[in-house]
Amino acid sequence: MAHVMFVHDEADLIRAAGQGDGAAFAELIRPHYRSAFRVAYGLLHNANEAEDAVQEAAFKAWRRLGNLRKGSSLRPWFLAIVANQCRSVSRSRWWSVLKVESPESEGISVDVAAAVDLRRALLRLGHDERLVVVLRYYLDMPFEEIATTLGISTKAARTRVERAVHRLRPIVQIQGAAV
Amino acid sequence: MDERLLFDRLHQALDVEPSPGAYDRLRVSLIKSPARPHGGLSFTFRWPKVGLRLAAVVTLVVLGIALVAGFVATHRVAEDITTVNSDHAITAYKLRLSDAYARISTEASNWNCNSGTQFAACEADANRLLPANYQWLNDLNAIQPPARFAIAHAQLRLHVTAQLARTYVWIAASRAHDAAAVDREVAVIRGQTGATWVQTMVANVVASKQRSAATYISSVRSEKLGLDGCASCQNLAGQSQVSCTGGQAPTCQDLVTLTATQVLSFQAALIATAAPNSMTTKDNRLQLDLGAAAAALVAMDDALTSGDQAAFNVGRTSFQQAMPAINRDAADILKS
Repeated sequence: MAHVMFVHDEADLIRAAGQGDGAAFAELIRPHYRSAFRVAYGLLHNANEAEDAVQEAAFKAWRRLGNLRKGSSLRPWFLAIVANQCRSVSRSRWWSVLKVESPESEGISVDVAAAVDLRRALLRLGHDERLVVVLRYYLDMPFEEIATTLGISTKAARTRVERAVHRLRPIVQIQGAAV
Repeated sequence: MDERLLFDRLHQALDVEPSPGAYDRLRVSLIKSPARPHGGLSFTFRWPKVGLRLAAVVTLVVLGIALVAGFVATHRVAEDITTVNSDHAITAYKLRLSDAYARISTEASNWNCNSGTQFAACEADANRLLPANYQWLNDLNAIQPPARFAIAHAQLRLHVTAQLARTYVWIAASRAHDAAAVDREVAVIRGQTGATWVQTMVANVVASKQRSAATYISSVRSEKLGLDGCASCQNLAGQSQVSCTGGQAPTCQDLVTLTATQVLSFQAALIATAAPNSMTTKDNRLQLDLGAAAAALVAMDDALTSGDQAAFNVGRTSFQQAMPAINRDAADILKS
């Protein structure tokens, strides 16, 4: 583990990780961990599941490190693996225990109620639409990086974001009017 | 829309950070575990064996009867919605439905069938879920829904009945050691017309709130736009020939899955953003026609699983009849 302390260059870290050095791979993804968690949380809406998904995705990314093209950025590649892992989690989570919330919302602040509404609206989007909303508006990602993450053109990324926002528009406008 | 507003709102709604030490835990795991080599299971596609075909045909007949019975029952429900719609009745219903769903979800969480080649595990899972699904259906039959959820409740029973029929095919496929058939059946059981439909509807019933006319109409408008913009939905509703044999089957599956996603979204929205009392008649009509479309998609999904083009065409005809009715119902609501 100590030898990682002397390695700073990303190319060296990739080489070391490719040779089975877990500490090197951990260093590689350290700057992207928070983004990865946010993507996973935005898709799954459960912090524990999000951490598990990022962990599982990290192992998958490590195994597939050879697929990362030379010179290409690590972040979109890793986030794409995280997003795919979340898709698998969502599929396997085909039964889940649901809790009934109180029908009265008088004790809930407008902000909290609005946040709950937006989260519900997000959950009603499909995986791909939810992903582009999270990348664009939660990670503040430019369209070019969204396109790289999804493996599509910038124009297609822009269209997907617009389509998803169109579906969210009523709920956000209502919230905007409420404050 | 103001992009900044959405940015702010999303940050407000998802304001969560990783737990302390989360990255360090991941780091330790990575250091302790050696990188594993590439690999994975792959499944080859095979058409069902003769015994399986027979099981599939029997299931389709049973499913067809169930769908007709469910459709009739749903319409009867619509004609005779007299149950109480008080806050108390709605809360009680949500609790009972949630409890009943929790029972099947607990049973289903012990899932061991991760690929069709695990014949023993898959058969065991199917055998365990069969009585749980019967219990779930019995629970649904015993629960009296308030008026707001009467149509959704009838449709829930319809989908659970379909899941039961599918579970029998799953068992037959496991016993026949047909891995591809097990995978196909599990996929449809978990898919957009199966568990995803059930889970989404239960979740939206639990989250349901009656809204103002303006909010309700806005929600219907949004979903109608989604339906209009759904190329797969329009393709299925159109008159062009759709062949699902041989290599065309995956394309048909995509059509059905994407359409089912859109129809489910519309159904879920009507439940989550419940109509005000002044609009319930129009809302009921729309829910019924969306239910007919959803039932047609169940039939098409099952027909694809068993490779039955004729049954697919029958389901598609029902869908083609439902779509214009949905358009009329939605237009009627939007001009209110």
